[in-house]
Amino acid sequence: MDTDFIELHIATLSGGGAVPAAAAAAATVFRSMTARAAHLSPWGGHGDPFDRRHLDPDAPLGRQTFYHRGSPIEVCLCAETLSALTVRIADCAYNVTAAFDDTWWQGTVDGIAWYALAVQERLELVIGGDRVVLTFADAPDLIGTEGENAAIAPMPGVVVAVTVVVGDRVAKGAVVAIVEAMKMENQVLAPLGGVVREVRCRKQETVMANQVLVVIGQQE
Amino acid sequence: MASFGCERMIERVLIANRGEIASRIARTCRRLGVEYVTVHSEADARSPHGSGAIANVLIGPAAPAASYLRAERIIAAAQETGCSAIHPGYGFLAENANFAQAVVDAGLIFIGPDARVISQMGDKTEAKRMMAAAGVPVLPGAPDSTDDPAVVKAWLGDVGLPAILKPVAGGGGKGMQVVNELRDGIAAAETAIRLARANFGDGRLLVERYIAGPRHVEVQVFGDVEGNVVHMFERDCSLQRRHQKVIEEAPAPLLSAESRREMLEAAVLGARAIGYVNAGTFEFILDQAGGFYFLEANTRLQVEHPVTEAITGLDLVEWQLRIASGERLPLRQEEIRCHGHAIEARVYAEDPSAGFQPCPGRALGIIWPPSLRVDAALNDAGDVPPFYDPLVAKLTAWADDRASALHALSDGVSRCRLAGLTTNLGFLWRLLTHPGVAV
Repeated sequence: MDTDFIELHIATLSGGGAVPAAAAAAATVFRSMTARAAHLSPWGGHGDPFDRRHLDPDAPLGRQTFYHRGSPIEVCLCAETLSALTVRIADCAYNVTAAFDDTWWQGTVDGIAWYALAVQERLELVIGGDRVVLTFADAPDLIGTEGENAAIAPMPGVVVAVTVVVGDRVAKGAVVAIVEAMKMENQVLAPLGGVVREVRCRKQETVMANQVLVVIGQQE
Repeated sequence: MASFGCERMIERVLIANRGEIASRIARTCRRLGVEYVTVHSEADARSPHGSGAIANVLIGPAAPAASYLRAERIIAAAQETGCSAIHPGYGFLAENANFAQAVVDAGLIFIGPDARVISQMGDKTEAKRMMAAAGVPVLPGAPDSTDDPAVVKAWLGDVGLPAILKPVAGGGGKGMQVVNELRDGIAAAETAIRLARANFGDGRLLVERYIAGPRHVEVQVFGDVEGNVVHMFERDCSLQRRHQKVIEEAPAPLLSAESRREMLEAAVLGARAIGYVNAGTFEFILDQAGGFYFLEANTRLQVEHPVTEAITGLDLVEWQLRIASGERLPLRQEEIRCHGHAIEARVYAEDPSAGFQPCPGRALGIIWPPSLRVDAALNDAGDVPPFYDPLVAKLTAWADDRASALHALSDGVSRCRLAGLTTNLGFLWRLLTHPGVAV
């Protein structure tokens, strides 16, 4: 165990990939539970969905769609018992448990602990310590009307360098600015090749996440 | 040997910091009946670190340079509120020799070593030279520092590769660059110099041999005004990411009794040689053959001091206050014992799945595990502002042995509830339960 240990195992330690789907599996429980009377047992209290089994054999208890960073995750509700719910996302099945205590939702997905808070139009979930934010509808475009023509700040911070001026030609992936926050320098890259139309930030300016820093026009 | 009898404990102290460390210092002040004044920037107006303070003084806008780094404003705040001492915590002005001197010039007590020692240890070239002279082993490196990329490249040839470039005035791994190939030397030097200038106002770099697969072990020391120095054993901080510590523990695992004894003695020797007063840490790098080399001395309370408190049962902030009040060291070396094993994990607001990008934001709900010692910047809900370090909390477990402490910590980490903020808690759990960490 030396100072290179974390870097050496970074891929397994960082997590990522599979987490949003597992979170969506947990989120279905949340949604179906909130739809019911609070005093009822989570899974009981309603009849056998006989008709639905015929209507939608892949998802006899219904389907739910959540959005994670703008991408939809469709969850099929397959079966439920008094203590757990089985759902399917793509070809992967998940066994989900849940309980509600006061403010927090908590439970397990395939044995991994999750908890969540509902906040207005979004669900704040943490599964195995990793945070996932899900929304019920497609998230609005945070980038603004410039869409993919804008180089945006990846995080809140301070602009420490602006490397372009209006009229400069830039290649796709070129560094157009550097935003520093909490001891880290983050390069802001041109999302496409073209001509710099607008520079909307100045050195030493404090910027917010997703704020447009540089607008690039297609080359004529 | 306790006190001289005529020394009076500091009655009111200004805590010149924010976040978890300000709350940590306040906790000891409350226990000892020492009044405290806190300071805050506009961004921290609702931060819990001001809790229990007799005054919480606004010192400026959010940016550190306009608030927590404003030496004159902080000293004035101490004077206006009737404080007799300033505790700098860590970071910000903690290792700023000019600040330490200005505090003393204003007729106040600086809780830490004197400005001369801060200045000597803050200049890594000077620190290394002094330690070598005192007989403490040091790493092979260039004899001086420079902010000329061409000179850096020339020195790389002398020192040998791989080498590491370090800002003379830096700390916490910020701006360090490892050079593996001579042809990358100029580019690495330019980046390191630019970062050093931007962050520390001093572009000079040190060039040192880089030890592959090293361990990072540091020794906690305390000195008093009479020249007495004791150690409080060592901490292993090898689990780092890009020179930022993630997990720290005490005592260091798999360290031979002989290496431990030699390292503890070297730290005490080094501290005595420079007339060290108050809390300090001597950092060493351990190569795979068991050799150790002085890395740097940190002239402040360390972030990871709770693990030392856990194994010794001592309160390091109390020692700092007592020594700053003019007392002798409260205990002799043989009275300081190491019991069991302690491990600390740092909870950061950052996204491990996106390159550990810092993620400032608002925590909507927090429940810390009751089974662990928790030093937190936030207790229930609140903001992690984008202007400062993303440290949210330090979680510390203590048990009879390392395996039990590791289990207690990973279990506690899995029981944390923190909604609304992206943190490294999942990463910490995977790390703490990784078979390679169980050694």
